[in-house]
Amino acid sequence: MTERESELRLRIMRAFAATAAPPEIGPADGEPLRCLAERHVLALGGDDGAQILMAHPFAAHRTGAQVESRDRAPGTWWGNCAWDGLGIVALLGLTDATVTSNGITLRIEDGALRDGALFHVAVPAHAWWDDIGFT
Amino acid sequence: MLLFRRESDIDAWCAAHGRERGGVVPADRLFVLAARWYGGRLDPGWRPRTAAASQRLLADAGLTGPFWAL
Repeated sequence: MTERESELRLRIMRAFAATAAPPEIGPADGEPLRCLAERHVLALGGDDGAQILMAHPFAAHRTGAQVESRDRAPGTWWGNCAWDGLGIVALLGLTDATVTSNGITLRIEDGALRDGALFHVAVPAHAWWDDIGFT
Repeated sequence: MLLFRRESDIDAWCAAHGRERGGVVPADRLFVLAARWYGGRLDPGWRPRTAAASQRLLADAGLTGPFWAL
């Protein structure tokens, strides 16, 4: 990963952490952005294929796992699935939070998961990036 | 990748969507795996893991066999 890619990646991750959304991307970011996507560091999409859909564990779309916490602003983040939602909790060091995915809510209190559930992975691991949105 | 409360709910979802049952991870184990999988991603020095390192994380979570092969 080049220095430009590393700097852009960090800017994207910090923006997701602080705002639950990706940062503004300029023309100069195009090449490093594509390289990061090729390395599966992030996922691009949209009509032009250049919009940041995910920078794991964060997602720009609002159809996956929702993380809520009063531990820090903005208080709501999104991941593509519960795996990512729990990853957001851990990455941000949230000790009290909820992760809601397809109608099921997991509570984290004092850093411990309080609810039981089963996470079903429908796609074999070797094919996860074939359609990362579905995965 | 979806959450379910019961094994029977997974079977019902697979039947309704015409899919074979995949892999199942209890949420408590998933939480531990997610913390390791995504740890350090806000660090300036973070670099992508190798596939072998990711495979080890899956194995440490008890996720082994052909389905979990990256």
